[in-house]
Amino acid sequence: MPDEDELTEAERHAIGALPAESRMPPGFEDRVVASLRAQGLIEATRPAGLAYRRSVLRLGLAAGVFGSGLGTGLLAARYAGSVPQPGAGPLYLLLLYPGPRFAEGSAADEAARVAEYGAWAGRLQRAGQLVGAEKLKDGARLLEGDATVASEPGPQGFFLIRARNAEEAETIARDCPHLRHGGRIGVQAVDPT
Amino acid sequence: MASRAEEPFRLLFRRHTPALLRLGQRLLGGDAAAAEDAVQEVWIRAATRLPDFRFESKLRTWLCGFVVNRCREVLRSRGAMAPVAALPAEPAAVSGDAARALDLERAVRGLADGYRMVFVLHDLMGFTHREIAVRLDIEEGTSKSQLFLARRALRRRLAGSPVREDHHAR
Repeated sequence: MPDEDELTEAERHAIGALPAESRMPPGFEDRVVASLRAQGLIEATRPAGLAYRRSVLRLGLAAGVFGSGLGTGLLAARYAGSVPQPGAGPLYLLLLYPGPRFAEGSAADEAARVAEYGAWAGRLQRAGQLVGAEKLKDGARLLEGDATVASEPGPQGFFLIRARNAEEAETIARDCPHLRHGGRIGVQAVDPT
Repeated sequence: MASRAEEPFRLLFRRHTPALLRLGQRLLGGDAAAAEDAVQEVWIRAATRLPDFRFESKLRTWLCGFVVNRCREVLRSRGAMAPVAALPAEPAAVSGDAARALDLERAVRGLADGYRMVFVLHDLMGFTHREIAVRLDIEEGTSKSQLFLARRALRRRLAGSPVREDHHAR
C-alpha cells in the first residue's frame, strides 16, 4: 500500500513518461501573430535583407550557449529591444573558452547567470554592436596535411561584435560575465582584407 | 519607443508554445480549444510585458505563470457548471507505457479543478508547495492537502482502470 504522501518509483516513472509538449495546431502561430500585430504588440520584421534574417535565426539557434539562458536572453533582447542594425566599425571575434576555473554552475545558479549574460548581450544589442553569436560543439580537431595532429576542447562559442578599436573590443570582452565565471575569452580582430 | 520585431517573436513562440499548450490542456481538463485560446491570451499578455522581463527567472517559467493565471480565470468563469471535457477517441491499439500514460492523462482530466491544478503544478511541473501557494494565493498547507487528495483520487481511478500492463485493443 503506497504512502499517499509520496509517489512510488512506478508512479514517478509514469508521470515522467507523460509528454511535455503538445503539437501546435495548424495556423495557430499565424493567428496569434496576426492578433498581436493587430494590437500593435509586434511589428513585421523590417525588410532588412537576408543577412539580417540569418543573423536573427543564428541568434535563435544559439540558444543554450553557455547555459540555457544566454540564447533566450539574446532572443528576448532582440524582441524587446530596439533591434538596431549592427553599426559601423571593425569586427572583432570574441572566442569563449571554458578556462581552468570555469564553473558550469548548479541549476540554482542558472537564473543569476541568465540575468548576467542577458544584460550583457542586451547592452551590446541595444548599442548595435552585436553582429552574431554561435554555440560550438565540444571538441576541435586540428588538422595538418593529411593527418589529425591533435584534438582539443576548443572554444564553446563566439560573439562577433563591432567596436571602434581593439581597446574597446577588449573592454567589452572584460565586461562579459564569462570571465567572472572563470572562463577565458580570446579577442581577435577580423582582417577586412 | 522600443520596436518589437516579428521574427524573433516567432522564434520564442515556436520554442515555448508546445509546452504552454500542454500545460493549458492539463489545467483545463483536456479542453484543447480552450487551451489554445488561453495560450493566445498568454502571448498577448507576455508580449505586453516582455520588455520588462529581467531574466530573473527562466522565460519558460515566467510564461507558465501566465498560463496558470489565465487558466484559473477560465475555470473561475466556468464555475460549478463546467462541463467535463470530452475524452479523445480510444485508439485502436494501445499497450505498455502508452496505455499507462493515456490512463494517467484521463485520470488527471477527471480530477476536480483544485486537485488537478495542484497535481499538475507539483508533480508534473515541479513547482514547490511554497511556489504553488504564492501562485494560487492559497496556504502552503492547502497545497499539500490538495496534492494528497489528488494523488489518492488518481490512485483510486487508476486502480479501477480497464487498461492494464497487458492491455490490448478493446
